[in-house]
Amino acid sequence: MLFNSLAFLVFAAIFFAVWPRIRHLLVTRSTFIVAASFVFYGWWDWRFLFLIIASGLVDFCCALGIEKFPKARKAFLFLSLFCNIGSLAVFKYLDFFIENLNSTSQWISSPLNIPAAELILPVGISFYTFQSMSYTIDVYKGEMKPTRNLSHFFAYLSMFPQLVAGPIVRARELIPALESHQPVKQGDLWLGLRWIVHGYFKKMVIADSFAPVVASAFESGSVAPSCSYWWCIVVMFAFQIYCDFSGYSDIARGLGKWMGFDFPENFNHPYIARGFRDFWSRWHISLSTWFRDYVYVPLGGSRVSQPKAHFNMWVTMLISGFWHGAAWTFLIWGALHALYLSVERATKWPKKLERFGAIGGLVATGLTFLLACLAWVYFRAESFGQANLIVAKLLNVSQLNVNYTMQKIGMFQFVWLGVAVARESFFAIGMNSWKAFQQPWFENVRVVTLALLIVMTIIFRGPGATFVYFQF
Amino acid sequence: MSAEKIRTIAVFALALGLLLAFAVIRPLDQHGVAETKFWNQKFTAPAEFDIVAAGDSRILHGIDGTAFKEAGLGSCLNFGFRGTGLNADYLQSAQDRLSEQGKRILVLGITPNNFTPNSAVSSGFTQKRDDVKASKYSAPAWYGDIERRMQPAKLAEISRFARGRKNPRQETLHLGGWSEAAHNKPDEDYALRYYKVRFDNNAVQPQRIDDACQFLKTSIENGVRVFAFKPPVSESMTQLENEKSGFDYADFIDKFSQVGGVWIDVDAAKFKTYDGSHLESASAREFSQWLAVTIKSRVQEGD
Repeated sequence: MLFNSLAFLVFAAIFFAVWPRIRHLLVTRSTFIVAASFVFYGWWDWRFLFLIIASGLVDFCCALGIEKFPKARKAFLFLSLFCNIGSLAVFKYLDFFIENLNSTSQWISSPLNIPAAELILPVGISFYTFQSMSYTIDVYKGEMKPTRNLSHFFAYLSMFPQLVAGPIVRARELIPALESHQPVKQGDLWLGLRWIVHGYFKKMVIADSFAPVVASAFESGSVAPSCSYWWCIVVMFAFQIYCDFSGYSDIARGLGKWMGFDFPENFNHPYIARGFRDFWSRWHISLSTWFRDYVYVPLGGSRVSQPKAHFNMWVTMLISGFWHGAAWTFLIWGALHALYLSVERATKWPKKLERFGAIGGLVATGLTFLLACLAWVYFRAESFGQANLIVAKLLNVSQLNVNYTMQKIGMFQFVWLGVAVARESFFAIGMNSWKAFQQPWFENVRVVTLALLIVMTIIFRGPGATFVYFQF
Repeated sequence: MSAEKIRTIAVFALALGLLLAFAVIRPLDQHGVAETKFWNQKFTAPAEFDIVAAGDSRILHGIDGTAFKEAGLGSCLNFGFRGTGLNADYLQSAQDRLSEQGKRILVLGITPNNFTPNSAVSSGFTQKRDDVKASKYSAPAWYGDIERRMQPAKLAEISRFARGRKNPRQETLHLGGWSEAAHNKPDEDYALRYYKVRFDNNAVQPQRIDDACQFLKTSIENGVRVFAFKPPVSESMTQLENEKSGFDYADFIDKFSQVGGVWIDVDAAKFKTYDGSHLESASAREFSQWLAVTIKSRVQEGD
């Protein structure tokens, strides 16, 4: 079920009509969350439910096993990791491995020609397996006690607002909240509404308006002969993926708020980052911190020699790239970010630029954004070859071809690009902390703003449909 | 009631009021059957047509299927889609709309765009088919105007709305697949600006022509009569397409005739377009009548 579908509006209306009546009944509400989440998830394909149930049961039992049989705790952890990573390997990466095995075997003149498995990728598998794994790892590390209540565990694992595209919520934060009474807090309804409305606007207006233009550029089968065109496309893709994903996260957080749960912030205006360390503390925060806590730190983190710290960071970024998709282009995207981080660590260029005051900060932000855009080319491209051709076009300023760009990209897209940039600039110059915005009377202005955003979302909605990150 | 509850209700009430107001005063530039019904019919109507007219937007706007019925040739479905290419996937879908017991006539409007790489990858045909599959187009016919009033708005529409002007281009959707387009300020050079860049890095690929002819050869061998023609466009459009597209009509006619297709020469000067590329309403009717009579006589001659 998509957040931006009529089916979801009906589903949400029913859910939130029942929710206030049962939110004080701990087991009943968890069971209700599980039932609703299974309907939400099974709406795509009910067969996917078997995987999430099986995966969840394994982790639930393994966590109990870790606590009850301390001598076999490693075995239980291994079983949990094996099942989670195994299901990811089968559903997400099997065809990638087969394809590369076939290519390699052909290259060494003994072709294998193994047929592709062509399994359907269950929606959001990368998100819920990571969430599930963090539970057993945290129990193993002694950072939390396992829950003995199956409905609480499945409510944590399958909670519909964040099930398919995050934020990835830690068990040690959500399970205790599920096991205790959460009083209705003053302001939750209003804050949740603000997040939801802004999330829908970002997704349905900005991201969905860019989606067809970006898709037509990357899927046309040839690389358009214009430097200006590709810069526009790449910048639009940067905002498409950001507004799509952060829009989803905002809606998820808002729905969570309405349920009385706090999901972590997933995006903090990443395109105003000064440098890549800053970027990764603002982009997909729940995943970045997951990789930090469960990959980077266990590898030794930065409390080791400089070369080892760089190595750890490269490993983490490459895994992060591969997490996004089973293709070499995603690995290259991860490698590019690792390279950016390595260079930044060695030169500390953002700090040096910041010494020049506001101008230096602006240059640092601009440079970070442009380099992030170059990396996005590899993330979005259909192949490594196409990405290289596009990068060549981006750098070929002698072939600006502005007329081509103006013909190919509609004025509306430029308007929304302006809105997206203005929105980020609002935060970049710190306008959000202005006193006027904190005054009680400003809430009345917000009423009008939110109503206008709802109207604009409906009137100016773009033609895109699904959320980009569902494929991961 | 708490202040935040009042504010929340106020947001939804204000939004609903604004939306209703916009929907009521919004000027429509599309009429006829609901768009959902219009596209849905092209894919899901029973295969009961004697004639299917296939091609891109020049067919979509240029062929009124009722003319074929009036000429006594039988029922006709306009299977035109914006920007579509004549690849096997599309041609097969068009052919699938023909009745097994009917006259089995496929009429193709040939444009250079039909054989470009872009038209094969993404076109109105693939988009609408995906939408129909995703059940986007399932609304009933009576829903037409409500649906249109809730359609996403375009920048040009908002700009006209703000200036109190109507869209000079009015479209009427007909069951049978014809999208009738009328324009009160026709400009024969209007579409040239788009076509100037349409073939950049997107020139006609001869292999696509060969593939289409190969498909048509099989169709003809299986009893389908295939006619083709060049939809009327302005002289400057013809000149621009000849210069930029890499498409050679003579070469196509030669290949098409070799596989058993019947080419129909059209005197483009007799018909008027509203933008240099698409026939305006009255001309589309006249052209459809002329085409129907011509095909009927060719059928009677035994072509």
